Amino acid sequence: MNPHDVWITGIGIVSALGAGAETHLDAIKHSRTGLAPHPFFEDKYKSEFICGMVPHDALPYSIEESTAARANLLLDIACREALGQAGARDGCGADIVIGTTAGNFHGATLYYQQKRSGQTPDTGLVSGFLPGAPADYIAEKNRITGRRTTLSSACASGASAIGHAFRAIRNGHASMICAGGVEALCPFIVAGFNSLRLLSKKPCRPFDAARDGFNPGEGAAMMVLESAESATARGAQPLAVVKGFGEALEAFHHTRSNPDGSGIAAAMTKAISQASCETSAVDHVHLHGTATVFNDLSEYNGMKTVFGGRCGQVPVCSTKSMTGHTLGAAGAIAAVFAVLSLRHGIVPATLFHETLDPQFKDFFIVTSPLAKELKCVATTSLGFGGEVASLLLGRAE
Amino acid sequence: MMAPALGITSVGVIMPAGTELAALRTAQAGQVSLVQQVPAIDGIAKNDMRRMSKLTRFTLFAAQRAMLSAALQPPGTGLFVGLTHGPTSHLVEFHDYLFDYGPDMASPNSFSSGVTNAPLSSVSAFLKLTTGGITILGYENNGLDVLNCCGRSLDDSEYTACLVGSSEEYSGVVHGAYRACGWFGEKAPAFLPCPRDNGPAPGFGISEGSAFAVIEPLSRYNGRKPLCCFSPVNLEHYKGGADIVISGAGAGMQDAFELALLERIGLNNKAKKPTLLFSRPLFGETFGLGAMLSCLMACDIVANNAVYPPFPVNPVVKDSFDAQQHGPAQSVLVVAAGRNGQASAALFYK
Repeated sequence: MNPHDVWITGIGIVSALGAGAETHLDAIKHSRTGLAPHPFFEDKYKSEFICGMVPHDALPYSIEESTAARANLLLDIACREALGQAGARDGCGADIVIGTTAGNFHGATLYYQQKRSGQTPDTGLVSGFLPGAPADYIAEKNRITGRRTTLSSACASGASAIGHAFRAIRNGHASMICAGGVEALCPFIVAGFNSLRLLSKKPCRPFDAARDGFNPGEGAAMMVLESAESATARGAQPLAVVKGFGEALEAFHHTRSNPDGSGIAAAMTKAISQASCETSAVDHVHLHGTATVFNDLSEYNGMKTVFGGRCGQVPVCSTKSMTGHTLGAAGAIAAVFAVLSLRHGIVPATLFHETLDPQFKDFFIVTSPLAKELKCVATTSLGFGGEVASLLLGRAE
Repeated sequence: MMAPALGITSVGVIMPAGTELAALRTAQAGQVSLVQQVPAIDGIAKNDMRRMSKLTRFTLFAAQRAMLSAALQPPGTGLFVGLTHGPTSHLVEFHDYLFDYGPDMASPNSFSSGVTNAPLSSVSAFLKLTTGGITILGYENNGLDVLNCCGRSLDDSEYTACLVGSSEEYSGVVHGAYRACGWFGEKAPAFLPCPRDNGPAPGFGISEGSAFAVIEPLSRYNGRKPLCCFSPVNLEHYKGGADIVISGAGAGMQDAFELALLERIGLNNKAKKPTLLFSRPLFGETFGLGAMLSCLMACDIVANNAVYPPFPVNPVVKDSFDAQQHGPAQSVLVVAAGRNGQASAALFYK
């Protein structure tokens, strides 16, 4: 054992599928989706959008009720579960690294709406929508006393947070980090992606010939990452290991991914080489799979570059059709799905995928849960502005 | 673990005071203003500049200045950007369209240019930086956090060099929100740090701008000379010795924590009292950018023997520091605390 090997000793997750890793494993096994229509906006602008909203039994507050604290509450659900599993529920000195795109942004929308309409704005909203609020909240609630960092790489934020935490532990700067991502649904997010014409009016269909966009979602996923040395000293067991992290900036376009997949390929190649393994060791890739025309094309081309002739033998999936696109949380949620895949030998189905886009030759999209022994799983995450992150996770031996 | 020794190769800055490091020295305590115009950037069309948020324009300007001065090749260069409030002006514009005309008429440009990582992705696209990087969000100590995170990444050989900086744009909405909360005002405090009591909140007014630096490991210079060196500092282990300390106090929400920090540092100052300086009286409250501006001051003092004016020091820590006009310095310690109590520090030296 290398003392700086990075173990995952706890995972926690909440999404449109509900709260808890067990709930998500059950959803994988039974191909369940959390997508459903939900009304947004008021009066004459009121309309329904298919989205992945966290169910009431997991978070008993509507968007309006949770105002500037929704991201805090979601992150806390995931954090508690992860800490409990890691045996660190009673407080710890871990650092915190959180990725998010909008945090508690609904508080800002409400504040500005009140101000515009001539009301005295609720100043209680202000501290809630500031960037570090979710990390500060979970630190206080769970007595986590280490350093707190909040970062943003758009929809790659969750994977970046786990990746940066991995680097910090591997390089000896920290021994234990709670890392993950969070995103809370709000009208701002729905209106923003609607303005870009990226939202599908149906449940999304990643890599399908008829794909036409994604469904916005919300949720949080957290991992307790520890050096093998620290975990062993506490008597904690690894659920899985983080073997590599790769990142890239596409320098291409402020919203669209580069269709040639060069960013994905660069990030995934870095993650694999950092783990000192060959592409042949990768048993499954959990793709970002937003079901937008360019993102999916970019991922396919990235896969072809990395895996070449073996591309058609590597099972791939996207779980956006289960959870919706959870933006800053998506990379962390994908990582938790990957841990479940490694531990239970199952590749999730890409729901609603019917007809493979004919551009995607030799592409092994899993459309019903696939039982398979997995030792090494890669994830990919793509964000606005061409930020790409890839994690390589391995089974705990 | 030994703190890494790194060099600052070049800097780029845009502030109301000007676009050169030397312009920072002319800033006068309490005279806070806003950036009037971002100079044109070669290679970016005026229309493209107009579509960007002010924050992205500031970031692009300062970042490309630093890169041009360093004559650095993009491959292997990491990119780190620190922000507190993000591109707020575009978010306000987005909401105005949303509230007035509904979700179908909301501005796609305001949304995509209003996302938090838009400044980083614009710099990456313009300067062809593809290796990797991150936007770190934080409070008043964010500029130092970003610099130290970049330093750690270089020490770990994640990148061969880094372009690192921090930006803030003025927003009337943010200003109004803070004022409504009573978090700070525009009446200069009598001394710093000035933790809030129950009276009217003092402060220096909100300003804006951007500051960037190119950082390289000392092993890469090969005969070239850095402007100065720096090392991240863990204050738990700091034993004193700097000629000057620059604090991030500004009569804002960070000041109670700044005061505690200075009290702790002051305990190490028995043999020699360092001069205590503050950046916020000169440049206003720029949140996360404030700590990066303190770093540029430190670099200017060490590299160019620049002189910055003192500001009255809180009586609680007055005896531990010298508050007179400073002379040349071999080393400058920059400290900053955020409103959430987290502190950061780095040492700049010849």
